Amino acid sequence: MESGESKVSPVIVAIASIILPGMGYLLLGQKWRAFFAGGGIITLFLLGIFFAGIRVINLPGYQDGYLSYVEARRVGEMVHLVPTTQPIVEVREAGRDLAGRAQYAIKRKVPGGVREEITTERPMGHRWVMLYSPMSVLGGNLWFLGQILTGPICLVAGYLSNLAAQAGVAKSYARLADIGALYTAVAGMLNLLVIIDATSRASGKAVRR
Amino acid sequence: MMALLAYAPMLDPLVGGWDYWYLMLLPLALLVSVVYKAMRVEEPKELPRQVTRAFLKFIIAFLLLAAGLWVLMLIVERSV
Repeated sequence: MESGESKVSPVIVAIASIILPGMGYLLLGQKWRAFFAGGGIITLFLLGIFFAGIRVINLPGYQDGYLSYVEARRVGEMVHLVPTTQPIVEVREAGRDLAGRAQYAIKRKVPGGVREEITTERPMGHRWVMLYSPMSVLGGNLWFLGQILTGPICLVAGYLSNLAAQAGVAKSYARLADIGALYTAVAGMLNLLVIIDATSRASGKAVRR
Repeated sequence: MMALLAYAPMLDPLVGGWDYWYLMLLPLALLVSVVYKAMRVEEPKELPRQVTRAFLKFIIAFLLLAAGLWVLMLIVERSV
């Protein structure tokens, strides 16, 4: 089934290619192409993680393995926006301090429980950074746009990266981080080419070379 | 030695990889060649020859780019 009209729908082939690199070719019966294209992409992705460590995959909206929020606090007439990974779960008034300012008792969700604190900065609410400012979050994590094109394996790696971060595994920096990000992002971009190629072969529009 | 004992592959960055980053371009060039040529060629028997040619072209292009940048730096150095 190297040429001509395929019996498999191009949409199914595209979805299969997104789920696992090379699986679209497998549906078309092109096993050797699936092995070399899909295997090459997965090897490239895993080598990137091998060189730079699992934390080379940073899921947007997470910081050190935890969901990242923007919290608004009122200080006098000013409103401060503060990044945090400990969202507020309960706020109640807690009298006044020696200067007569209103105090607030805040309960925050922390790993393994709840932490309480007293502050004069009145909390006004919080939002996940991906809902508050998605473009700036993605802009600070541009490699992810390439990495996510590898499909669910990137999400699995991102989940493992979060677990590693929570366990205290350090990030790589400088050259190794760049090389790892390059490998994983190139793997994703190659997978995009593979998705397009497998889909056009399924619709019988493969370019003759 | 202690860094090597504490090293956990896939979790931590490669120990000693810092000094040999340029060698990491070789597997990158090879795997990009394999994936790209797996898409392009129509017969599996053509693949090894095509991949070898693409890989060598990558390496030659890297070397020419490095030489070109080196010459550019020499010109910039002399002009300032």
